[in-house]
Amino acid sequence: MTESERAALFADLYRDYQAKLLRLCRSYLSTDTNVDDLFQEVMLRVWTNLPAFRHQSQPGTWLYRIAVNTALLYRRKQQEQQQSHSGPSQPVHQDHRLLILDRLMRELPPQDRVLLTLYLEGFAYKEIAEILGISVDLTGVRISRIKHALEQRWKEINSDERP
Amino acid sequence: MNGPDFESLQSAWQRREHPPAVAPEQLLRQLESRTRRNFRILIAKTGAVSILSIHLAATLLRQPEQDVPAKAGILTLLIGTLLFLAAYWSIVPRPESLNPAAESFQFAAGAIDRIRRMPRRFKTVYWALFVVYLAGINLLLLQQALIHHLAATAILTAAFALGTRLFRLRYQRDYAPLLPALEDFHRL
Repeated sequence: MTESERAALFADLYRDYQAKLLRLCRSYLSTDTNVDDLFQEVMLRVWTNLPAFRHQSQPGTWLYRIAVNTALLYRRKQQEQQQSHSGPSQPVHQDHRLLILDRLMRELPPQDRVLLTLYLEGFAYKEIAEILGISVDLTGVRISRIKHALEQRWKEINSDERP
Repeated sequence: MNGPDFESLQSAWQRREHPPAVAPEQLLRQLESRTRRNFRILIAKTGAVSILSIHLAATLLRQPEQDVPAKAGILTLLIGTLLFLAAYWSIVPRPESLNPAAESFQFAAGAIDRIRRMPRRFKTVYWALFVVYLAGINLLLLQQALIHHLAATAILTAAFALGTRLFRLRYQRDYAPLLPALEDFHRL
């Protein structure tokens, strides 16, 4: 792969997956703090591993594996804890349902946040299983449990907010 | 009261736009600059070790032919330094050394294993280096008075105690906090 081919492929992947990977980084960290730093770490791994990408797996599967694995070893930078929440990774549109979802996601452990994010991104159970390296059945069971727990909490929040 | 409709939540989620952090070309420039910075740090570390090694090698060559203990001491220090650096690089868990494109479950297992074994492996390597250095320095000072041996041993012991403490602090700050999330992930 020549340098120009590499740069072109990187630009294509960036264009197609940037928003998705930012959403994954944001939901994994469960705050807006450090999102851009983690995203840059992910893109750095993508860039450096691009010559090894042989299209044996779908680009999405390959990218999400890198993103999840980078997030797992990501060390939060303490000095950025005070960063403003109006940083560049703040979502543009704030749908009320998404605000509730954000709040509930923060209550989930990181592995469930990853599973839920992949589900919300529209991946099939088989694809999620391929990214994470677990069985399709287990993926289905875990996602059903997460959805069930979310439903319960969603109802509680809604009943709390009712006048 | 109804719970969420997951299908509409999925489409709302997928429509959720984050402003692009930067344009791809700008990101590439940032990544290249980050890579260059990492490379410069690597070069600086390699440079420091090379200077130390060259200095040791030059000192070795300057030794009189008959001063075998000093030569053996310097050679021991040189080999010890290089072996320690090689071992240290293999101990630290980095995404690069764990195949970042691997299935995440497998990646997490590898990372947990490395992080858990890290203190024990570091201790083994560090103690080996301590013994090698102790032997090297004392061989080098073989012709000197006992007080020189005692002083060198004390300085070396203090340096190693400090190094161990620094490692422990860094481990507690950087690596141990990663374990709970990795283990939860691995328990999926």
